Amino acid sequence: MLNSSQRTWLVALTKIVGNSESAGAESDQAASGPASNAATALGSAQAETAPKMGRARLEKAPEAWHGTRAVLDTNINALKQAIKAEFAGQGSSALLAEIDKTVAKLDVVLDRLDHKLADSMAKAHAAQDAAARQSELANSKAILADYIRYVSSEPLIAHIDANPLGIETNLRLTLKASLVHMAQAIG
Amino acid sequence: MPTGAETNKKGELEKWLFKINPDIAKALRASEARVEGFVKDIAAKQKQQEAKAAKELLVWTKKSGSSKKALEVLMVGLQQLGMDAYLKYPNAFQKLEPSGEPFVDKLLQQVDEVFNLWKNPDKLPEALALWRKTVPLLEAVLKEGEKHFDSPGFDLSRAAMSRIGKQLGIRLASKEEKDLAQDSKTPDISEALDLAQLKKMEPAMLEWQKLINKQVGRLSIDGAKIGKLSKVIDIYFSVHDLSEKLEAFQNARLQAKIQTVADIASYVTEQTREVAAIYTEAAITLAKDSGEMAAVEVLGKRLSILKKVAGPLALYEMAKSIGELVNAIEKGDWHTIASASFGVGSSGVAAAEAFGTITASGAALAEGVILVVWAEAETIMGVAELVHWAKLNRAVQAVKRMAADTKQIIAMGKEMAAATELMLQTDSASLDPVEGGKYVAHEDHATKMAGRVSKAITALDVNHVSRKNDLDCVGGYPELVAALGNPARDALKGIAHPDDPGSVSMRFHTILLGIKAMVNEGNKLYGSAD
Repeated sequence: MLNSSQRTWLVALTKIVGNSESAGAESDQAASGPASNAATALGSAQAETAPKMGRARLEKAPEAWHGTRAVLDTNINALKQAIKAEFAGQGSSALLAEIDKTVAKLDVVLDRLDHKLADSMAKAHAAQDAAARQSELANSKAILADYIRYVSSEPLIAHIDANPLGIETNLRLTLKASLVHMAQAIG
Repeated sequence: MPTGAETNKKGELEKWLFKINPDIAKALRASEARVEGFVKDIAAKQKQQEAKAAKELLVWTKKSGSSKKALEVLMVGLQQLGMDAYLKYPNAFQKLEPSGEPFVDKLLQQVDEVFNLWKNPDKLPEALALWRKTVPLLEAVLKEGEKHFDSPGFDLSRAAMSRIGKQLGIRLASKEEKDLAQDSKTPDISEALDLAQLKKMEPAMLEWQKLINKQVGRLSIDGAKIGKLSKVIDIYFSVHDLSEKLEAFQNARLQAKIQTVADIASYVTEQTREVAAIYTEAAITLAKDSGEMAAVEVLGKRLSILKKVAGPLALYEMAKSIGELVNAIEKGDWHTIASASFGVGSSGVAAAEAFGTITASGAALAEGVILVVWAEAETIMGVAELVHWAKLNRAVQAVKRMAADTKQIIAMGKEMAAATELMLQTDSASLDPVEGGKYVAHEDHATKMAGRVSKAITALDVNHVSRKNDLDCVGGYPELVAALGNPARDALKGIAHPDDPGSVSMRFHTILLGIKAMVNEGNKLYGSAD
C-alpha cells in the first residue's frame, strides 16, 4: 500500500499526465503485455501493447523504463513502415525523401524521453549510503517530473496515437502507466 | 484507379503528415501533378483506342452485315436464358425477341429450339446435337464482336452459355439414368430357384399343348386367344437349355415385358388362366344352351377359382381338369362336368385361396421366388396340412414381408447403380459444361440414392431381423436369422459399410446371398416344395 506522501505524489502525477482513472491505483495496474516482449519485438512492424509493469521496486525500475522505451520504439517503427508503404512505388524520389524526413521527426519523442531516468534510478539503487541514495532519488524525481511535463505538453504524442493508418501506437497509455510505475518506485 | 475510400485515406494521411512536417506539402503537390499527368495520358490513350475500335466496328458492321445492336440482343437473350428461372423450369421458356439481323436471329432461333426440345426428355439427344452445333457459332460471333467493342456482356454471355450447357447435361443425365435403370434386368433373389420353378411348369404346359391341339367340335373357342398360349409354349420348348429360354422369349417380341425368368413364369401362368377361363366360359354357354343350369352354377364357381390359380402343380391340375371338362362335353356327360369342376376345388386350390396363400396375380407371382415356393407347398399339402402348418405359415409371411421390402430396395438400387455407372463413364475433369453438368447430376443422384439404399437396408434389419421374439418378423425365428449368416447380418447392420454406391452395392449383395441361404435353410427345416 502507498503512504500518504506517495499517494499525493501519484495523484498529482496522474493529473499532469491527464488520466484521472488511475489516481490512487495499486502498483500492479497497467496495460497488458509482458515487458520482456518489448525487446524481442524490436524491428517488428506490429505495434506492441503497453508492458505490464509488476510491483514497483527501485532495483527493477531501470529495466522497466528500458522496456517502455523498447515498446515505444517498436510502435513508432511500425507506424513509420506503414507510412512508407503507403507511398511506396507511387511518389517521386523527392516525395519519398520528404516522407523519410517526416517520419524521422517521430523519433523526437524517444530522443526526449531518453535513458537518463533509468540511469539515475540505477545509480540511486546502487548508492551505498542513504544520503547518497536520497540525493540521487531527488535527481530521478526531477527527471521524472521533466518527462511528465513533456508527455503532458507534447502534442506529437497524441498526434501519433491518432494516426489515420490505424496503427495502435498507444504512446500516451504506455507512457502514463510507465511514469506512474517509476513514481511509485522512486517513492 | 484508386477507389473513393482509398483516396480519402490518402488525403487524411497527407493532412496528418503535414502537421508533422509542413514542408511535405510541396513534395505532395508535385507528386500529385505527376500522377495527374499519368492519368491524363492513360485517358488519352483509352480515348484513342475507343475511337479506333469504333472505326473498326463501323467497318465490321458494313462488311459482315452484322451490327453491334444485333449482337447486344443476342447477348441479352443468352443471359436471359442462362437465368435459373429459364433453366430449371421448363414452362418458363419464352421465345427470344428477334434482333433484325438474319445471321444472329438464326442463332437465337437455334438456342430457342434447344430449350424447346429439352422440355421433352425423348428429344434431349436432339437438343444436345443442336446445342453442340450452335455453341461454336455463338463463340465465334462473340469473339468477333469482342474485337470491335468492349462490353461486360461478352463474359456474361459465355457464363450463361456455360450454365445452359450444364443444365442440358443435368437433364441428359437424368434421362440416361432412367433409360439404363429400365434396361437393366431386375435382379432376382434367386434366379436359380426361378429356373427350377419354370422347369416344374413344364408338365402343365405339355398338358395344355395336348389340349389346345385337340379339336373340340361342340365348344365355341376363339382360336386367336388360345393361339397365344400355344405360341408361348412353342417358344418355351424351342430351346432346350433353361438359361436360353429367357433370351428366346425376349427375341420373340411378345407384347408383355419379359425381363427375368420370373417374368416368364408369370406370363405362362397368366396365359394358362386365360385359356382355362375361355374353355370354362364356352362350357357355361353350352350348358345354358342345353338347359343344364346346375352345371352352369358349378362352372361359374369354377371360373372364379381359376382366375386365382398359381403355382406349377395347380396349373397342371387346372389343365387336367379342363381336359376332363372337354371330354365330358364331347360325351354330353354333365354329371362328369360337375365332378371335374369339383376336382379342381378338392385339389386344394380353392381352400388355399381362402387362406390367402396363393398369389392372386402374375405380378405378385414375380414378386419373389419365396412366395412361389410356399404357395406351391400349401397347394400340395392341402387344407388340412395348411392348418397343421399354421405356425410355419406365419414364418412364411414374415419371410414374404422381408422379401417384399427387399424388392423395393432393388428398385432404388437400380437407380443408384445406373447413376453410378454413368458417373464413372463421364469425364469429371471435362471443360465441356454439358459433360460437367452430367457428371455433377450423376454424382449427386448416385450419392443421394446410396444414402437412401443404405437407410432402407438398415430399416430392413430394424423391421425384420433385429426384432427378436416377434413371430411376425424373420427376427422371431432364430434358425432363419442364423441361416442368414454373419456377413449378411453385419451387412444388414451396416458394419464396415460406408454409404458410397460401391459399398452399398456390396452390402446389398451380401444380404441377397444371406437371404438365399435363409430360404434354402427354410426349405430344409420346414420341408421343401420339391
